[in-house]
Amino acid sequence: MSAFTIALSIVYFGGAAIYASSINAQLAPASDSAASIVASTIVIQNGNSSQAWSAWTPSSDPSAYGLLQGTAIYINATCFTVSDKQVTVMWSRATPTSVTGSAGRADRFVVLDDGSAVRLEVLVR
Amino acid sequence: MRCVRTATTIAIARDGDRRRRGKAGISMVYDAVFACIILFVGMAYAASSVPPAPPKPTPDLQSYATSLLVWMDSKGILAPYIYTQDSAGLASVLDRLAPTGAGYCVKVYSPNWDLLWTYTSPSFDAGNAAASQPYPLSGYQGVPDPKIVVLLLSG
Repeated sequence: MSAFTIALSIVYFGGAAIYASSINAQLAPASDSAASIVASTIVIQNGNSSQAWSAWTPSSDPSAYGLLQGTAIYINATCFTVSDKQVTVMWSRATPTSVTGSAGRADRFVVLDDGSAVRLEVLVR
Repeated sequence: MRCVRTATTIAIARDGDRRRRGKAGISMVYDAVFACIILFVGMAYAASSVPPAPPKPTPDLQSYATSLLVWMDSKGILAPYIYTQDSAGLASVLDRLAPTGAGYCVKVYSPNWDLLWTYTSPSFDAGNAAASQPYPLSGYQGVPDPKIVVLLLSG
């Protein structure tokens, strides 16, 4: 392999790595925004009604939130209440598959009309 | 004799041509390698001179922290931990209620904003944190003792 080929390879792959890292940096806020859209959609749909949240089932279908097909969504919601000064879990629901790797994230804490509260966690990649 | 001399002259001239071409080819390769190195160094300098994006907390964490403080106070589980400085009890509650994997820090101030005490979880990252709105507490068990609580969450 000539010195020219070696130098060209270094420049080519170095440039590709720099480009890839800059693109990843640009996409990270987009994932956060997508996660925020999903979380806000869920909160708007259920409001602070404990009945609506009890009947709600998390969906990982991107079209339900206006996102592109192929977008991976993970939703985890846990409802807490306080009895005898102790925090207890009333129910917990999550989509079956988790999202691995670097993902956008949004968290919400919703106080419901019966005094309980829901911790909502959304990951989007 | 003259013929031999002419042939020798031609052979020497051809050899010189070859050497000149060879040198020119090698110098072109060196030029190309040098140009590539300059390009690479330039790109590396450009990449290193761009300041890294400052860490920013998830924008939801500020409202999350405020809602969490409001809810804990409404359920009567905030004031006991704050006024008795029960950091272990407070940590056990916040471990359950804070976002998964998030670090937290509770700061308690006097009405004059003197820091009275603070509790920080091991995973808290101060450079990537969002603070709740200052939450006032009037007192505990009928005794007026105003304090201000601030909850910081780091994603």
